[in-house]
Amino acid sequence: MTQVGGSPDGEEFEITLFGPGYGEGIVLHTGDGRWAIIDSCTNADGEPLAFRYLQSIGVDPTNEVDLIVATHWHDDHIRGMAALVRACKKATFCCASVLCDHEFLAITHALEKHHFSSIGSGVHEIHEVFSHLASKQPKPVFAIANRRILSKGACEIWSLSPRDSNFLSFLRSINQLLPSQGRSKRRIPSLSPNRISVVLWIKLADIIVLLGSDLEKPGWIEILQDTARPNGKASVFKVAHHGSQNAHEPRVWRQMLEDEPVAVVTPWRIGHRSLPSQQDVQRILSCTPNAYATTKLKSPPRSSRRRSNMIRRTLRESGIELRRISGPTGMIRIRWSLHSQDGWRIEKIGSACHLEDFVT
Amino acid sequence: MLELDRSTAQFQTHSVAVSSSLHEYFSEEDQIRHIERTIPRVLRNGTAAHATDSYGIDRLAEKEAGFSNSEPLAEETLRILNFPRRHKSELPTRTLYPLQEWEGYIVEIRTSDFVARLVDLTAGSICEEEAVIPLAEVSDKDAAKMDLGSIFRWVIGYERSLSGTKKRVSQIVFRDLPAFTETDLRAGQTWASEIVRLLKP
Repeated sequence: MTQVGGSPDGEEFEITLFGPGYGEGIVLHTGDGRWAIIDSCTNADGEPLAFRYLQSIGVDPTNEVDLIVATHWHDDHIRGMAALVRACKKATFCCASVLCDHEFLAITHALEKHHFSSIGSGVHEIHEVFSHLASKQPKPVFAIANRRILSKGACEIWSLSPRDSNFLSFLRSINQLLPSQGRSKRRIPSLSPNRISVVLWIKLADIIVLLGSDLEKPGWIEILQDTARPNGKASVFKVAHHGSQNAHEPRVWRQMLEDEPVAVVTPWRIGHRSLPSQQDVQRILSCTPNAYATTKLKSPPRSSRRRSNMIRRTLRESGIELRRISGPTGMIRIRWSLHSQDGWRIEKIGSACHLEDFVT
Repeated sequence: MLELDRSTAQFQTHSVAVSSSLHEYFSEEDQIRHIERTIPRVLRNGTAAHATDSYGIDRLAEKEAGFSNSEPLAEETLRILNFPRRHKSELPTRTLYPLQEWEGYIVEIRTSDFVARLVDLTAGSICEEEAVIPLAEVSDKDAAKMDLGSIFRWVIGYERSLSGTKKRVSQIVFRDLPAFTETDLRAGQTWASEIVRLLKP
């Protein structure tokens, strides 16, 4: 991992966002040496990036993490989550209430036990997490709209979504994707629009952070219409759904964010599709000049795995090139102190960049 | 013991008759499988009518073997019968020697190719790679099974043909999925009830 220095002081807050090009994760210093982890992605060795980062700055994640949040179950947000939950022994796990719904759990179990694949998946991670939590303390907390999920010292964390009304449609959609006779074995694809993502509203002393997860527009409209949500405007925004147009709601920028907030995008690429697009970049920059990307998202490097000449020749003759799914790890780290007059310090680490320098 | 001997003899006669009729249509292994499926039903029912396929081969074989009026045997006798297996042919068969195997799933399908995420089963890696694979690499039969998220096995290796010739092959096979059964769902419901009881106050 890139040189990242030491851990923050007890009175210094930190939010660090990782995004190697596929997957995202966030760590949050809530003060006094206590930490929270939101979502998980892995490095080339399959280790959770958040865990490795905390170790690299001298933090013991086993004992110093209070909260782990899985905002939703998509592969790019949940890779390594089960390993993280097992390793962070003191942490409370939090996810959307619907993921611990009886029907959803029954489906994950049936998929796991009788439709095995060696490829990891969101379903597999969720199943592993709940299997582990069944015999562990503390018990998980479940996120729904306007629920305070952590209150410790100067830190409060609230979930603003999802709403109960979205649960039934989610379960119906999942049900339609279940395996049926004669179809090829397949993974359950991501559902769109994503309305069950957990959006987090985090108050660290007098600074508010809004983490948009992958919530799409219909979900944001529900949050905006909700009069019971916590007051205050955020100065730091994790742009929802990798900067995609389908998660952009202009009123979020006007009503929930300060003018020209710090905005961070975690780029995403799969096959020939990638986010944010050039139009997305222009749109975000028109909302705030203080926008960053966790990686430049150039074409991922060729696979470095060694293979025999015969395999390489066969691939070459078929016109097939193997590539890694993500590039080098990049991160945006923001630190600020309770008593400092200097404001915050923003660091672009690894392949991270200002959004103006972003290359799709 | 008498019954066992009689059945064995009948089986041998029957199998010869069936295999000669099947020879034109099926490989030797298929014939053996077919015979093993058919014989117990014949012994149980005294007729092979239920095992008749669209070619009418079982009826013909039964007639030739003089087998259609044989008496049904007791259940107990059927359980102890151990039918002799025919020896497989010594002739060379087509054999695949895999050198590299991946498991993959489709993330994007385009007009002439598809994008897949792969894990290297040969290296035992959990880290995924991505590849754009021409649709020409997939057989017509398997192409019909392709969908977003479909899981497949990809093998590159050598194939030794019947004549002993060795050639390089790249084979992509989509895996068929068994539908959920009542048992799957019941097990899921039981597990889910336990998790909800333990985790949701």
